[in-house]
Amino acid sequence: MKRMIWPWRRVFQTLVLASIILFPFVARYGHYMWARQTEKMISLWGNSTAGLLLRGTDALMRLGLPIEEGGVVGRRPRKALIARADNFVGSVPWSARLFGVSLTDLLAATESSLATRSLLSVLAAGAIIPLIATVLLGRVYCGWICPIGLLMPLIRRLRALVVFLELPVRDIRFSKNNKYALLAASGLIALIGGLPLLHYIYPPAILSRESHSFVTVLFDRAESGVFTFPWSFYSGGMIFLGLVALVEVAVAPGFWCATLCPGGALYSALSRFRILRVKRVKSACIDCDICDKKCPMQLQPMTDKTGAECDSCGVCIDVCPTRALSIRFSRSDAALLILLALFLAPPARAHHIIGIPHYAYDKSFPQAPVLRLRDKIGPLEVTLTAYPGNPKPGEKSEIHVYVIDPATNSPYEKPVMLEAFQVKIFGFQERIADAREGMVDMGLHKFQVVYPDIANYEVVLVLPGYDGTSTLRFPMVVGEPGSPWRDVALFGGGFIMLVVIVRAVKIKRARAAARERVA
Amino acid sequence: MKELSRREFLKNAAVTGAALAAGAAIMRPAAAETGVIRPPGALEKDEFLSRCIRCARCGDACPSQAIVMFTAANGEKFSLKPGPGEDGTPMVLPRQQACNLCQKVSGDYLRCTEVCPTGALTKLLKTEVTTKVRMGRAKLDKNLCYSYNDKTCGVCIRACPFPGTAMKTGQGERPIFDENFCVGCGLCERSCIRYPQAIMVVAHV
Repeated sequence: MKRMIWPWRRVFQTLVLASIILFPFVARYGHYMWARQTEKMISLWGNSTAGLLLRGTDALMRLGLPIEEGGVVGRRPRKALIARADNFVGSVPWSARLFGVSLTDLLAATESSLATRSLLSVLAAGAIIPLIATVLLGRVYCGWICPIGLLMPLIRRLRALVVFLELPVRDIRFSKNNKYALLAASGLIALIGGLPLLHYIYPPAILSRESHSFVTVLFDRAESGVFTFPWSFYSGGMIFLGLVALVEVAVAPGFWCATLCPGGALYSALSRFRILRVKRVKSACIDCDICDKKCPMQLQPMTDKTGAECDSCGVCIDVCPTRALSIRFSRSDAALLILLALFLAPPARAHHIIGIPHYAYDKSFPQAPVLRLRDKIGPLEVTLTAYPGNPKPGEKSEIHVYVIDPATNSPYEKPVMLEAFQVKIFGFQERIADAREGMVDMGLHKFQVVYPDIANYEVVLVLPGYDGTSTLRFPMVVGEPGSPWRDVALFGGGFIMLVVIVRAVKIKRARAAARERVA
Repeated sequence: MKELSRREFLKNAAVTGAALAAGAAIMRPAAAETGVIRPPGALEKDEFLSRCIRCARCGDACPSQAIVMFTAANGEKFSLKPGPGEDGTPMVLPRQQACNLCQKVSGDYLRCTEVCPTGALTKLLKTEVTTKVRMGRAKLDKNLCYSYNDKTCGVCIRACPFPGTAMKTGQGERPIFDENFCVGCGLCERSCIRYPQAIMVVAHV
């Protein structure tokens, strides 16, 4: 029975991916614990997406802890839970603090120190463990930790679908030196322009940022009473990852990790003197070429061309039919022991979680509108405050407009009128409130608007007495409508998919018919 | 693997360099003018943007959830759009949640500065808050303030963590600010009951 390596690797990668997804939830849970809001949020949110996720996080965090504090059964052990949440801070694997130990990606450390032309001890302290691991073990980060190594092979399975549809696929192999060029160029830019760029295109950083963004958007909306799924959390980074996935599927499978990833370039460059290497027993090797074809880093283990770029993933060892390949420490095992000792060193925790909690602000407190839009019209500064910040359809909502001339520091005296439009697709607008003057109170113009539906609205301010008639437009979102363009994109995408599938079925049938005629 | 010719390698390097230079031109941190309020201990604007690696550790560690990441979604409620190179950096939106300066949290350091892996937020002791934290300064609009318009209010004075120094009480609970002592925590703006707020914290320029 051959001992396979890949199950272990997949377990590692899955753990990292799970922590990428879970860390933001744990942090948010910690926030609610600090503010003593957890119970309230759980009961308030019920079975919505946010409520279920918060309850799941709660169950996970309370594993092994009794629900009892200060002799009160049923109360969550707050201090213990906060102390637990405090062990998981930041973005795995980009830069995180695990059990008090700071771990920072070497690419992040390099970028930051190049951009500021200095190396602070706090940064060096966080990068020391990854650095030692890379120097000794090589590119294990890429093979065993980076979530892209788990996700991309999964996405690449779509290639079978593309082939089935008889769409053209290609298998281009770029030069592996591209990644060094990219790393050098961006390093130079960071050094000259003081601009760290790579975190915009480095997939592990993108993934953890998007994960944080998702949790923020989801829970922030739940706090203001909107419980739909936050489709809008993604940013440009996700689009970049989608493009990479597209190229991987259709044009060049495996190109990112092997030929373009700047992190891979840095790790490869650092693992020149690694002690963990793939070894080949020449007498057992039958030159079958399977390992060369399967190597995800596009290396040639059959001819011992693995070197610094090998990510120790063990694919070649698993596929070798004669067990000629194995992974070995080439110098001594002592280094491994030192490394283990470093990993197992007791975490240096700076403080205990004791003391009195801070005063918990309640976000749903009615005196906290969180919509404040500002604009300028000529020299006048206009501030529009809406309460509530995300109005509900059919309910009265307040808009307070404050116009001031900063030169004289006096409020605008002449009338201010407000009208409201519902924004529909293709730029059409439907008037929902006619232009009218508001109530004037201490320099403020107060309006009440009722929005009929969940939709995007535009609130238009008209200053009839100022410079002819001047208008200002402010966006207003009621409920969570999403962009109307999303429906168009969904419809268009679905239509294209339908056409493609119909075409594929036609081709398949025609070929089958042709085969039958020949037979 | 096909051996790469020198010419091809140089070509690749040139293309990559050009692409990145274009990126750099688009996203120069020097052009960032948003002027949002950064967490305590933050370095000067350009240096902060250079040093920050956008890891969200400070936001995770902040016990009062005051630090949010500057994304388009988070900023739009306050007409804030991330400027060039600012996407994903931490900011404080006092109107939404003000910084409590870790006053009633255990530990010796401000928690965001303690977890920052790069030193973009300088590690600060809680005892150094009055001298070293300058997130911004509170600006009062006397036209809006209730107390300056013959309606006694005084909410902000009760919210200020440094009453008597950063904010003195005038006649009829009128707030009187002292820029030399104001740390820009935003607790006064958070507490102001007027909308739009009579007090706004503006970042130091």
